[in-house]
Parts: sequence; C-alpha cells; structure tokens
Amino acid sequence: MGLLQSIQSIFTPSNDLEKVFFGKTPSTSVAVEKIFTHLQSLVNKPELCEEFIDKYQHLSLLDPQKREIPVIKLYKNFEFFIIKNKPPNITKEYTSATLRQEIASVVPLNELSDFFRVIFIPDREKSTALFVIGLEFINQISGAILGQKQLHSLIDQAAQGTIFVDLQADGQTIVMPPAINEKTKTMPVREVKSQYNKFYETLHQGLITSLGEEKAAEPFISFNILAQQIYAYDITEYLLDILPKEALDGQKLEFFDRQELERIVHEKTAQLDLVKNQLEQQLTQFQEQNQALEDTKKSMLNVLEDVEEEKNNAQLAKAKDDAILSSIGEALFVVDLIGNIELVNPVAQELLEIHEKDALGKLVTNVLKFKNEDGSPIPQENQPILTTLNTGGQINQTMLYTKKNDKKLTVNIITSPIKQNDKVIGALGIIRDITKEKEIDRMKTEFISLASHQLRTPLSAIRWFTEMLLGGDGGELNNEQKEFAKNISDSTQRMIQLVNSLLNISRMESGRILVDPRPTDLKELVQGVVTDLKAKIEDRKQNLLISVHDDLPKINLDPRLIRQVYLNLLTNAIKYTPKEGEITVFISKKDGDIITQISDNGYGIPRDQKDKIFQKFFRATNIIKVETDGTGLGLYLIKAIVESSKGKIWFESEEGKGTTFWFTLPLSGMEAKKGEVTLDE
Amino acid sequence: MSKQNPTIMVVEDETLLLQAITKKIKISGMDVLSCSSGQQAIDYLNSIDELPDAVWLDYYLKDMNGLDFMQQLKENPKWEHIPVLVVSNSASPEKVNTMLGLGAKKYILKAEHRLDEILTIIREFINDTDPEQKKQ
Repeated sequence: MGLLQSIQSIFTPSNDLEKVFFGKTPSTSVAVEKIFTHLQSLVNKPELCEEFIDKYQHLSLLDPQKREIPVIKLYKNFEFFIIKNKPPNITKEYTSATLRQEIASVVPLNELSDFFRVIFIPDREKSTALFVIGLEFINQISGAILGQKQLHSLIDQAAQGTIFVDLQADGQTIVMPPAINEKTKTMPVREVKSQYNKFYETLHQGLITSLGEEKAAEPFISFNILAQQIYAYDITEYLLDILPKEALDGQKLEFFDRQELERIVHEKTAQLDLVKNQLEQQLTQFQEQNQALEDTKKSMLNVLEDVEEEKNNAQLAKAKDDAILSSIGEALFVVDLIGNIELVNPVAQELLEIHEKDALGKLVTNVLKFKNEDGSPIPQENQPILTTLNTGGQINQTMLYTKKNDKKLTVNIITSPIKQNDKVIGALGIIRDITKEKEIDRMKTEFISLASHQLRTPLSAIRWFTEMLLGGDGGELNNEQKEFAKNISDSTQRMIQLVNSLLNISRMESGRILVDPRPTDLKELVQGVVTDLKAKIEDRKQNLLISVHDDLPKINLDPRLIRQVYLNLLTNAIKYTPKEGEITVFISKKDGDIITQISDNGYGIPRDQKDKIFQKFFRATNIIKVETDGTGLGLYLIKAIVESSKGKIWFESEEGKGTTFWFTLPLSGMEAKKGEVTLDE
Repeated sequence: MSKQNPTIMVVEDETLLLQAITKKIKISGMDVLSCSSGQQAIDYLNSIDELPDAVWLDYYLKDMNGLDFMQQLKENPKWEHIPVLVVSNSASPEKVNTMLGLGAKKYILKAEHRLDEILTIIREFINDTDPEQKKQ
C-alpha cells in the first residue's frame, strides 16, 4: 500500500498509519485523555456525543503510534460539534479559537505530537510548525527515492536566498535551528509565509528536475491530503499559502471545492439555527429542546457521514444484487468476457456437484463439461456459453451433463449475453434439470407405442371377421347386412390408419427413428407412389402430370421416410380435389436443393386456418364436410420428416382454387442416424 | 403328388384370431393345424407323420416368442425346410432381420392385410418350395 493510499484510508486504523506518522513521538495517552475528557465535559447531554466517545474509547486501546492520526481527526470532528452547538446542549458557546485556547490551558502542549500540537499553538507559529512537518514529508517520501545525500543538496540550494540559509540538513532528519525560530518571531506573518513558500517552490523545481513532475509533487500532495483530513479549514489555509502552487494543481481544486462545501454547510447550519430560534419562541420549552436536539444531531450526522453513507449504499446495493442472484431457484452461472467463471449460485453448485472454490476464476469449459444430448462431445468453440460471448446471441440447448458419480443429467441451458452500452461484457447461463421430463416423455412415447401395437390384434380380428362376413363365408348376406358390414370394414380401416399414424408420430417425437439413407432415384420413388394410388386417381377421373428434372442425380435419402412425404401430399391432393381435377408434380433442382412442388386445383385451405395446417390432429373445416375420413396427422408427420432431413416445407392456397405444397431436400442428402425404430412397423 | 390338400400350421395365441384364420383356411380348401401355443405346435410336429406345407407364426406367443420357435424349427433337419410366414403386431427392423435371417420367408404386420391376401402369399410359398425337399 502506497503512502497516498494509506493517507486516504486514514479512518481505518492499520499498520500503514505508522508510516504516515513517520515513527515520530506520539502524543502521550494522558494528554489525549485530558483533551477528550475536557471536550466531553463541555457537553450537557452525553447521548449527543456518544459516537465520539465510543470512537475515542476504541482508539485509546490502540498502540499510540497507530492511533495518533485517527485521534487528531476525531478531535477535528468533536471540535466542529462543539462550536456548532449552543447551550443548553453544551455548557457555553465556543468558537474554534476559544475552544483551542481553553484546551491549551489544561493540557501540556509539549506532551502532544508535532502533528497534534499545531492545532493549539498561537496562529503565528502555525506556519512554522506546518513547514517543519512538510519537511518531514519531503524527507521521508523524496528522500527514500533520491537518497538523503542528494535530497539534502537540493534543500541547500532551495535555502539560498531565504532566511533558511543555515538550515541543518544532515543525518536522518532536518532540524530547524533555534535561530530561525527567533527570526520568524519578529517578522510579519505574511513575510514568514512568503519565505516558506519561496523555499518550497525552489525545492519543488529541484525535485522535478531529479524525479519528474509526478514524483516531485507527491510529498506535497500527501501532506495536503492528510492535512485536509485531520485539520479544520482554518489550519489547512496556512498550508495552502506555503506549499508550491504547481504541485497542488489538481489538489488545490479539490481544496477549494471543500472550502466551498464547508461554507455551504456553515450557511445551511446557520439557516437551521435561525429556523430553530423562531421555533423556540413559539413552542414550549420541552418541544424546543427536542427539536434542537433532532436538528443538530441530523445536521451533524449529515456532515460527518455523507461519504460513508454513499459507500455503504453502494455496498448494500451490490450485496443485494449478489443475494438476489444467489437466491434464484434456478441453477445459474456467470462468466466474464473471456469465459472465466464469476459466479455459480448455490442451486447450480448442488445440481452440478461442483464447489464454488473449484469454479471461480476458472475457464467455464474446464469446469462445466457439457456434451450433446446423445453423449457425443461438443468442441470447445461450440459450447453455447462461449458462442454467446462471441456472437452476443441467446442460445437455448438441451445437453448432457455427467455428475461425479457418473450419473447423467439431461439439462436445458439458456445462455444470454450480459451487455453494457451494447458491448458484451460477459454471459450468464441458466441450467434446468430436465432429466425427469425427458424420462416422462420417453414413458409417454413408450406407452403410446405399446398401446398402439396391442390395438393391432383386436383390429385384425375385426378386420378379418368382417372380411369373411362380406365374402359370404358365413352365408350370403342381404343388401342391408352387406352395407352394415361394409361400414364396419371402413371404420376398421380408419382405425388401423389412425394407429399407424399415432405410432409414426410417437416415433418422430421420441427421436428414436432410424434414418438409413441410400442412393435413391426420386423419379422411381414417386412413380412407385403413383402406382399405389393409381386406383384412386382413376376412380376420381383426375389428371396427374409428373415432371422430373432430366439429370437428377441419385440422392442419399431414406426412401421409407421420403416415400411417406410424397404419399401423404399426393393422397391429400387426390382426396381434396374434386373429380376430374388436375394434380401436378414438379421435381427440380435449385442451388443445393431438390425442390418438389405438388399442386392441385381442389378445395384449398381457408385463409384463417393457414397457420394451423401443420398442427397435430388439425383438419380444415371446409374439407371435413367433403371428406370425413382423415386423421389430421399426416402433414404434422411429414413436416417433421422434412425438417429432420434439413429441408423446408411450405404452401400457398386459395379456398376454392387449389393448393400448392413445396418441400426441399438438400442435394447433399440426409444424415444417417442410428435409431431403434422405422416408420410402418 | 397332389395327394391331398396342402396343410397349414397356424401358431397364434389369440383365440379369436386363431378362429378366424382357421375358418378362412378351411373355406379356402386347405387343411389347417391350429395351435394356440408354441409348445403345442412343437408337440404336434413331433407327433405327426405328415409335416405341414407351411407355418403361419405369430411373433408374440404367451409361452415363447417367434425367435425361440424358429430356432427349434431350424435345429431339426426334418422341419427346417418348412416355409414360415411371420405375422406380428410389431415389426422393428431388428426383429424382421433376425427372423428373415433365421429363414422365415416373409414378415408381415397384423391388420395391414386382408386374410385372403395372406393366404395368397402362403400359397405362393408352397408352390415355390422344391417338391424334392417337400418329400423328405
């Protein structure tokens, strides 16, 4: 800790204060005790100066070297309190001069340190005393850098042409010979100050040459700061007259600000006093006293504690922020700009089984090792939290985390940037344990799968018995019986389709579907689908036109999945287009995609239902009237297939005019995926 | 050669389905050996002189699954050439591949086909089977 800082932290007694005090002789405990006992005796209401006494008691326990500076500061505050109060709060009215005089008469001044004594000596001697302390600062601070020898030669130079020509500057300290003291006693105060100032100005210039501006100013600034902390305004004023102007350039400004501030405080206090006096005339004695007490106490506290209060407020606000982050029920971590962990809240520590001490300050990817949902590793640069830092975007991803005991957690992570003035300064991640949700989801899918498979047995029975009934295997049926049996048969067919669709949906949703791409000729595939649908098309006397790009290469696709897409879109086109309608299929190549367009001039999709068309179990109102048969699952399923193949699907439609669906498949083909199930099992 | 009607062994533990299949096979002019469990089918095969021309096998049986049944069938040189059609309410690629690998002729999903379609498939099996092997 540098000297400047130790001066600035003057209110907190610490070992560094010894440095400020330069190991000089401190005030005796007896003398200090006398001063504070005397001050206390001037206050009629002990509760008013409780704070000062508490502080004094605390300081009196410290080593005399360490307590010296805080004690002087405390005196300054106590003195201010006394001169700002009036009887009956205190015994009589004081000015700082009368108070100091009184103290000088009850306390032996030679028992006080040089620093403390300055306050109580006659004004005339204050400049000299401060000048001597200033020399001490120079000796300690600049001497430590320059070496005593060089410093003393600079002091000799500065002394030329001033009354200090015979200043003794050898050994460890600089001594003012009694002759100088004698000389100053007969000189006008202004002249004395000017001599001191001239000396310091020359010395400062000498220091600049040897040390540069910044270092040269340091002893003067340090002294000035300390003086402002521990001395009342009237004393620091002396200092301003003698210290080199240039050295205090920035400091002076602060000094004048404080001067202004104190004047305002004085004015305001005076106004308060006036108000108080007026009130005193109107109110009862008891109320008067009470009011005076309150006012005085408040203004005192304001003057003394403003700065500390600000500091406390800032600390409180930060503590509150920290508390909020720590108390959030979701697991949360925060990283700085380069990805080092700044915070891991308790929920995250528990969930991920990490200790704060092992995480803070470390690179996030070294501490929180997330993998892809399927357990494959994620390259460092693709970890969402780092991506968020790089791009400033929010990411929402499901990943796998392995705990210490090898237990795997499925987690959902949302990472968001922390921005200040539009610049990313860090990122935060919120982690949610979705292991149970995933498990329930899996169970749901399994249940649907199991139930649907089981349904196939009774459906087979219904289907086959109806088949035999209709085939006359149980004897010839009359027309009405035939019609009934036919209805049963149709309904059974629908039920079978529904079961198949449900199974496919649950397979797609579970992500367990197997993708087995192989080079596929799309033209052939489409023709196969058309062959299956031929009977229906002919039945409805519809026109089907197929046009496929001439040199379409074989594409790596899972034919079972893509067949489902064509089958579905074509079945829809046939079902939802009136007899003798037109259906066209165009397959073309554009950029890196194969685009398939399937158009009809059928019933179309109502405008207000367009956004629902890919939803599960949705069927448009206009076609339900025309064609009751349908599950509302087809488009939902094929959208899932197309999108999982990295393609897109969309449509345009006008009610009464027709519908066109488009979907793309990447020429590069589908990615193989290991899975447990296929469609149509 | 065309001594009598072909005989089909049906192994199906669902009574109603077994009943429907049996009835249809008979109506179609073939003979049928109805078995409601895997063990019953094995016992039959052991006890009769004239082996069936084809087996209709439900994959999920109460006492064993299709895999166990196929293995027993293939372990016995007298039985290994009998064509088998597997009919199941579930057809994961794994199951299908295993059964075809073990020598099943075809694997189809229940409820996806009419009875007469399935019987046509079985008739084709019987016709395709080498008469020499059949005699053995």
